[in-house]
Amino acid sequence: MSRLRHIILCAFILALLSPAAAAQSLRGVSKADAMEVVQYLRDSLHLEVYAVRDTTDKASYTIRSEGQAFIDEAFAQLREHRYSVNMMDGRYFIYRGQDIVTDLPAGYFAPQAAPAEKIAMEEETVVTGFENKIYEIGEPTARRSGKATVRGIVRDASTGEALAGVAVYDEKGAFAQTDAFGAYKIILPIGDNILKFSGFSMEDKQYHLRVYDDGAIDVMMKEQVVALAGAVVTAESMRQHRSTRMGIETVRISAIKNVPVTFGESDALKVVMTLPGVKSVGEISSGFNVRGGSTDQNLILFNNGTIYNPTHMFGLLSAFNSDVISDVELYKSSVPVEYGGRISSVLEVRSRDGNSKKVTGSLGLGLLTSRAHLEGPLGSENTTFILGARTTYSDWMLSLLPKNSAYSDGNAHFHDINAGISQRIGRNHSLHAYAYYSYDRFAFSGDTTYRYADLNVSLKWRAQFSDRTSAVTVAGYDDYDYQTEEKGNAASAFTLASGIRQFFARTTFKTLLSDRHTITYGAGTVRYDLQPGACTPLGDSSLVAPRFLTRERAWESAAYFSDEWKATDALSLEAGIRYSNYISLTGGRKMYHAPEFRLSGKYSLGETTTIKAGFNTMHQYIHKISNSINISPNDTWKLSDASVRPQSGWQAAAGWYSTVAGGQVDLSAEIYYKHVRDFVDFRSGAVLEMNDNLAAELVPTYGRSYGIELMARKNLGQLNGWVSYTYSRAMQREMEDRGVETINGGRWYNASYDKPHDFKLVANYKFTHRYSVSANLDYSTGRPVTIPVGKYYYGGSYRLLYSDRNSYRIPDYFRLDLAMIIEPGHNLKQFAHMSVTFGVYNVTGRRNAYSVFYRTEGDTVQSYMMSVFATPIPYINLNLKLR
Amino acid sequence: MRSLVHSLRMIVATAFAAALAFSCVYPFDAKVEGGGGIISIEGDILAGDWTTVLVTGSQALATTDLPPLIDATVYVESRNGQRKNAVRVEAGTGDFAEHAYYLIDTRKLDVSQQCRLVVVIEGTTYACDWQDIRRTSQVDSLSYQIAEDREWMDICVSAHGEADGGYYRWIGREVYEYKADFQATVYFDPAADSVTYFADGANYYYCWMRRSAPDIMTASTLQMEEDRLIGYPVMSINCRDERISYYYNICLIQESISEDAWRYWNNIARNSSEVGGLFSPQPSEIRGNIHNLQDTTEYVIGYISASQVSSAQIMIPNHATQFYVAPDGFPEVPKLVRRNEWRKYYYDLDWWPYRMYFPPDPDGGEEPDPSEEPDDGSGVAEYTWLPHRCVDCRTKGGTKRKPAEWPTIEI
Repeated sequence: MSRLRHIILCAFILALLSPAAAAQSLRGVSKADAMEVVQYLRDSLHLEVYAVRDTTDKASYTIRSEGQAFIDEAFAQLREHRYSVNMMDGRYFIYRGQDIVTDLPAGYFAPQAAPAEKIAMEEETVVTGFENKIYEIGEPTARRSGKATVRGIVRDASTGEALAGVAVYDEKGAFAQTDAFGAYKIILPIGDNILKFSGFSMEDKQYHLRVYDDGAIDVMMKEQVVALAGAVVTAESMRQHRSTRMGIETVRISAIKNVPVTFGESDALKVVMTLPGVKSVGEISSGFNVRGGSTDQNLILFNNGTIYNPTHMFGLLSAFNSDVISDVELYKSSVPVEYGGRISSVLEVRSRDGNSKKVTGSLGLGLLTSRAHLEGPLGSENTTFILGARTTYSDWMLSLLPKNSAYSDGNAHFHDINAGISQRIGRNHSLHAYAYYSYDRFAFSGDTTYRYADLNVSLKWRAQFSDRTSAVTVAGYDDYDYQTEEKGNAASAFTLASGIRQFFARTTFKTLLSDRHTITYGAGTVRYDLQPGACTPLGDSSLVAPRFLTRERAWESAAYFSDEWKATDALSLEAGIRYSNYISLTGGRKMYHAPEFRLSGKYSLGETTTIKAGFNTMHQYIHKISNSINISPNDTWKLSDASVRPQSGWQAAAGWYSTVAGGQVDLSAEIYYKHVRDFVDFRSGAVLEMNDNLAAELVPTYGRSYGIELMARKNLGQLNGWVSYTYSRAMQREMEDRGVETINGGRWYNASYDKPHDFKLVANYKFTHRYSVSANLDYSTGRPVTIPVGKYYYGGSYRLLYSDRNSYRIPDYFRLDLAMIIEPGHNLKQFAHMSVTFGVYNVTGRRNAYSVFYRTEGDTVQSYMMSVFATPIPYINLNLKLR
Repeated sequence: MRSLVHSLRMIVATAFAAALAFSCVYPFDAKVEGGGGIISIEGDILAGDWTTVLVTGSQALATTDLPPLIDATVYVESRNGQRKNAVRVEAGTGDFAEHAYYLIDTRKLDVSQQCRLVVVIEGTTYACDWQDIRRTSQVDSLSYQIAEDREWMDICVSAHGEADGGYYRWIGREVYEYKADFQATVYFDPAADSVTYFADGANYYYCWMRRSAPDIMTASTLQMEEDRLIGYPVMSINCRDERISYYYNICLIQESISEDAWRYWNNIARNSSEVGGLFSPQPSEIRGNIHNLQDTTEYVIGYISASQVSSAQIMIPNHATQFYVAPDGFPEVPKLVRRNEWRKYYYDLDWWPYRMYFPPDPDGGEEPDPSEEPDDGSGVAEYTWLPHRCVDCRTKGGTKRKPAEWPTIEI
């Protein structure tokens, strides 16, 4: 902490020494240029000023006055030099000439929507007069009373991209949030309303609506270019106070790009791991544990396709290209009723739709990867595309190894490709097609090669059937394949492969029944086809007999319904039921079915404080088979069948949320208790590879976890970020008594990711809109391990005698990363903008233990710990953005 | 199919490679105490051969001495009541230079009868489960293969024939000749307080080590088209390993084992050498098939198999392979020790005399002839000395017991 404070202090000193500051005297400015005048207005007079630099302006300004007098004089002088100075919403916009627009249309009404036609317009002079404008929704002749539905789509003003997660609300408690398509629906009373829009790092919008009838209003929001000092209501805090759901974390790509991570590659999953309640077992691990759940208990969806291995290069990087993703949403408690099939959490990663206004792209150059992306309209504004690709040149890392280290002929490679096409059909329908492919290959000796690949294709159709009902239908195909080639001994060379293929389809309707009730209902199905293992000979001289484990097939289907009921202005409740049905088609048919409940409620204690509670039950029918603590490249999966029961569990949680400091800081505290049964663990000495009777190796366990998560979050402003502390426990206990073989004698034992204390800090400090520094601090208790407690002489050597499972811990973990981010200047005429990130990973160079291990050396047993990144690692990352 | 162990080894290698690229390994003290006192019984019943049995106790991690052989009554019992009793063989006199063991003559064990190993310690009876004696296939040959980078040498087995099961284990009995760092020409006789020349080729320079190969060698042919192994690598020796510095002989005794035994041994291998990597499996203990008959809850270490055996051996002379890489130089420098300090060096510092000292010729003339007669006891001659371990090969565990058939003439 003190280090961070020190850095911020240093940064302040640097800022004071900057040229703009030098041109200012104590009172007013002398021989300053226009931008320095603007800077003075911002810094000394605390005005919110947006200005566009005009490089042709060589005039100098001298203003010797204070306060209002300075402002008047400054504006007068600027106007003399042909600048326009406008005020809106308490903000000033200063620009020159007609070709530059400081603000884009703040709101317009879709021309084709009948009720909105009357007010459909493209505002050319939004800068002035906006506040007084009254937008009429519906015809006055409708003569309705009561309530009406107002809907629309929220887009980014500069790219036309739909904005998800924007909070839409009035002053009386009505609340809605835009979905993945930017669409919102809200019920407002007939009459005059103020409707507000708040988005992640977007400027707030506020509209005066005169509602006569149902109607639509589309909204354009623009990105905040300059950090704001004033009070801003954020989408996060609106959701905390107005939505019944809890335990939801959303991270926008803009935040992801600010967090310093391994080798400077921005990485959505690594940022998710900085959130409270999310842990990982070690540094190079993109498998993560949510609230005491195992890595396979997270449903990871990328554009609705299931990702079974979300990592590249054995966990060093996540499989998501940050250039094409828009946001990441993690549900760790209140899982929406349309999702199911995993016990712990749902992580939804959404890619962006392409820019609908112009073709743009970017090129990125990092230490490990290079990447490129291109997006834009296809023919018309209604069709957009986005393409992204990444590849690595990490072979150099291996080439750094000593020539005789047996790994020098190794190599590691990956690439991934994303493609998306979106088509708007009228204002009520849109179609989206996505494709994703990722491939990894690595070998550290000539003898063994690992490969894995993920393929997802999906199609999504969004339909607005009426003012009150919309539907989203998705269908797709996922394919995950893994393969090992082993050719050390020609006679026993083999290829080992496994894979999962699945088809899925789901349709979800959302209807606003009244201003009190919103219902969600639908159904979905997944068809699994799993090859648990195929071993085939490799090469002509191999004697290996081809062997194929029995294919596993199953259908998992669910129908669901939920009602969000706004009982009073302060009290809202949501009750949902999801009936899941699972049929195993492997061997004899076996069916499992059970209802799952999703209950949550919130009660507002005033405008800025809310309490919530929730209860969920979940089922999981697919299990990861891996005896390693991490996601490993040769994990396979197993479907529930007659001998492997589905996992089931429930979670109860409660939370308190408050917004303080004039709306700038959100505080939250959540507690939870979770219980799971039939959680898969492995008997001692389990053989998991190519085992036709795998069920005999698995032991069902009870899992229990509980914890408290405290968080303070500041989303906007010069200093933004979050700080969190979590105390939590995660334990397991074998369900059956297997005599002396029962794990730890049938007592509760620590799960391998049980790390009770966890402190995280992610902070970003913006000096200007171009320069910022970021810090990432991570402290946690060391994870449990099973270590040798003794030795015995057996089979010609010392052998190790192990403790009870997970009864010791590795040393605590601590890491601080710092990064400096230089964003491009806002010269709109430049063809390409370069942003640069440089930083240091593990600044203190702490040797964090990844694992401890033991070797028999002569007659003694020596213990070691392995550190993955034991020294400070500097990095630089360049990103070229095409305008 | 290459065994699970090999696959896992590769995974660990992978993990360590990944680790090597960015990471480091540091000594670490987990501050664990205890861990001693659990009975450990080893000794597969080898029908048609001698059965060797070790009965020891587990130890704390920090212990450096080999665990002593526990006094016990040991025998192999057949279902028909026939017993084969063990005799105790002291360290250095039998097949193992470093530790004592029990030896049972099972060469004529009735293979049609189920059998078990019984160990009685102070009235407590430990026995493995009754089991059939398995047939094993014929070992055709042993070979060695040196990796391209000349870092490792694999010992490979070829075998075929009829066996029960498809799971194999090999017991390796090694004999190798090695040398002390320095060849002393003289020795100190503390009784006479004199330094004397070795006579008749006697020396402490050449030693022979007899021991079990420390590798856990198992394989499964269940995944293969036929029950046959061709050049299957079962163990590896590093190029800096002293075992292959001169003459290395290994006899592999092949037995058939059950699936449970195979799992047991693989688990030991996994627990001992394959933990701590990025993708390493979690270590765990599994129970063997030996029980305290009076108290079945007592945890006893060990898994006893019973099998007929076949065996083969191979001699690997370093002059043929040129594989051994000697350590760089000797850090020790012989030191001139005056006669009045001999006892102090011998008893207190554990140094031994090396050879006669010839002062350098100040004129830079010819080197003196080392074959010159030494001093006749008048006290004129002087000797250089070295730490005991540098001149006495026996300090590394070997003995002067040369095998009856050995290709060298040294004694």
